[in-house]
Amino acid sequence: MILGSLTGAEPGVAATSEVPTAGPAPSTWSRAQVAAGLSLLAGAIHLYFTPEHLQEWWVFGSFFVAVTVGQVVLAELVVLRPSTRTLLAGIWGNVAVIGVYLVSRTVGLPIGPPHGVHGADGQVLQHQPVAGGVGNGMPTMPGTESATATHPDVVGIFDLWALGLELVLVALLVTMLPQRHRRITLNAFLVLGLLVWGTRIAAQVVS
Amino acid sequence: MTSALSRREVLKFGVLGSAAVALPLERSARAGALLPTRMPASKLPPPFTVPFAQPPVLTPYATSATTDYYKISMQPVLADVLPGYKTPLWGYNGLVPGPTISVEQGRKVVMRQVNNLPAVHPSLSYTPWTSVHLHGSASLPEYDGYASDITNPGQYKDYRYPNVQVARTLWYHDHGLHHTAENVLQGLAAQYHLHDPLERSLPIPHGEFDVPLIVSDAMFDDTGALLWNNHDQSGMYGDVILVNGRPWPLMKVKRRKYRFRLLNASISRSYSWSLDTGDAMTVIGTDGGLMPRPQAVKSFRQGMAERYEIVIDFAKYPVGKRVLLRNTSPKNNINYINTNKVMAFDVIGDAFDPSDNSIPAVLNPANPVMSLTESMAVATRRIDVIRANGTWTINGHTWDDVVASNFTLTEGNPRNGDVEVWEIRNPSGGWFHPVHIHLIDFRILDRNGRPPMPHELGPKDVVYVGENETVRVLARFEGVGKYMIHCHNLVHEDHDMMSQFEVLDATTPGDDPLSDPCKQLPEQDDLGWQ
Repeated sequence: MILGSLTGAEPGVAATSEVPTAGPAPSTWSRAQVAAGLSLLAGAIHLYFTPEHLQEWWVFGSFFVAVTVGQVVLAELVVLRPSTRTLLAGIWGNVAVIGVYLVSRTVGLPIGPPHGVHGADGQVLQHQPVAGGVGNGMPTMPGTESATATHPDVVGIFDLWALGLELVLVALLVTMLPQRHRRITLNAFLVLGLLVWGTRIAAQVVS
Repeated sequence: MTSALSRREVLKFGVLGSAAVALPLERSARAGALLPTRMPASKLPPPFTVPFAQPPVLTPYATSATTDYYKISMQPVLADVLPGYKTPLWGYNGLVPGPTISVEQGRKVVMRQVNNLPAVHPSLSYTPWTSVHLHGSASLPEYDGYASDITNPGQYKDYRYPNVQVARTLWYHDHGLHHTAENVLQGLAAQYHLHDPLERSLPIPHGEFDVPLIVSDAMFDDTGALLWNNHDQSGMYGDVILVNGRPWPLMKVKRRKYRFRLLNASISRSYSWSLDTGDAMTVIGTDGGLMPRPQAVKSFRQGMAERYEIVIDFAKYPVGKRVLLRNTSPKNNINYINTNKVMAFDVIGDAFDPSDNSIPAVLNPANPVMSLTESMAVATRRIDVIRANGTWTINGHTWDDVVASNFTLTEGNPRNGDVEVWEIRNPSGGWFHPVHIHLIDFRILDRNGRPPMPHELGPKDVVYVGENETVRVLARFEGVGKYMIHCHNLVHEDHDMMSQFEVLDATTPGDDPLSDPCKQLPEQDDLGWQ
């Protein structure tokens, strides 16, 4: 099937990262095109939210720009140059994006914009002194007393759409890998997944 | 090889994929439940079971030929908000909402505000300095509640209000720098009614049938205390809708017209009102007073700090009919199971005074601001409400920038008496901003090039600048000195979407907003209009 058609290898034999010289089989193209479509859709969602994140902090905005560009480039490469290297880059790039999402929606990112950053005493930094003010006028919101960065964001509907697209995209790209890379990648997913779940369970036990 | 994932491969992928899906959702669900101590919905009163109540009208402490004198103590109170619980709040004279002030046009008011609040907020650990703003009044700069003109616990300040404007619904609320949201949610808000001969003469509902509705929202813990969450400085949203401090109250109404002075005193929540009967309500007044003509609407939206005077006619309903005031929320609010409900009216058959039971076709056609035309404008200024690098800003400026400039930074310097167009732009699709320009009334020219909504066809001082909206307003700047402009999502205002403008006069300098500072307790008996 697909990989065999893509690379010209025997069925079940690991393929090389060569680009086919003859036209690929229709099913190969459709799979690559579906992957490209998913990547473009995910990129479109990230692009849509780029201005909002740029307003929030240029670092966040730049990240969204990078993700958008990466997903658009992946969409092109997966159709035009679907090498193993491209597929692996696409897989792990998207897994990295999913990882950032996972952190931002669970424990909060370790970095954040300078304004609104809370010091160890819970005080918001960088406000001007208040002339005539007696004491400290900055409220300390519950849960922010020792926060050093942003707090976890709430999952939105577009988050779920982007996540779903990326998960299906990654799964699709995995099926396009040569057998050996496919096995290694899926084993790595298993280890990574167990680590994430293990961390969550450990945190629950400790708390 | 097979192209599809085998069952074993699906399991391997699923371990990671399930973590990516489930863990954020689980965290969000916990966040949605806020803190573990949030009062469960089962312990909240069912909507429309708590009787409606109104704040009392405050009697002046003293009067003279020209002036009414009031003394108000900002102080803690254990309030009966939720049946069976005591909620620690702060109130003007210990009332939440505070007492209503009712004053006739032309009578001056001196309002002594004494900060008897604790030195430190019991749970948020801040010092509750205050600055009282009479919202809707063209007060002098030093009595306008300038955010940096603060009164600490143990201090007091005498505010002086001219009351020369046309009749309107104003409100006084805290404006203290960096914790306005917390102070207002804690209870420091109340209405202030300014009357004039025209408004008194119109046959619209008065007296018993002229009813303040101060709508807010809050969240409580399982002891009845307020719960705090500003969602990373985005906004505060409660799961309980309060009207005059009562959760989803039930009001008995007679079969006639009522005039409701509807104030959105929420910290961050906007509303879209409608009646469950589908009937229209008639808007007769906006922030700056009576509209030129009444506007019948089946629904309308109201941002924070906006005031609308509406008339609901209960004559058409039979005795025993229950009419619900509902909220179909505008977008970008955080909603809960009963935030779509506000209050209920039960129609009763009691006799009533039939006078002042109509809505004239013309209300106040001569309101000066509504007579302004765009051709009278001598300048157009642009105000961008944007989030930049994690901070809410006005034209990229924050109140910190104003302070750092030694209060010289301004967004514009209109000349006294000039008419100007201000174009307010919100380029974001992620949040809305009710923008308040102090000192002036304005007329909304258009929104994204389209005419203002019917309910906005009156004098305003707050304008709802929705997602990706550009709103142009027209105003005459009368008065001299520095005044604030800010978002009335009070969390945004505190962090730090607030700046100022200065009205200049060729011959008369404006008063310094910091020129009449607070005094230390004990009070001195030095009340008197200068």
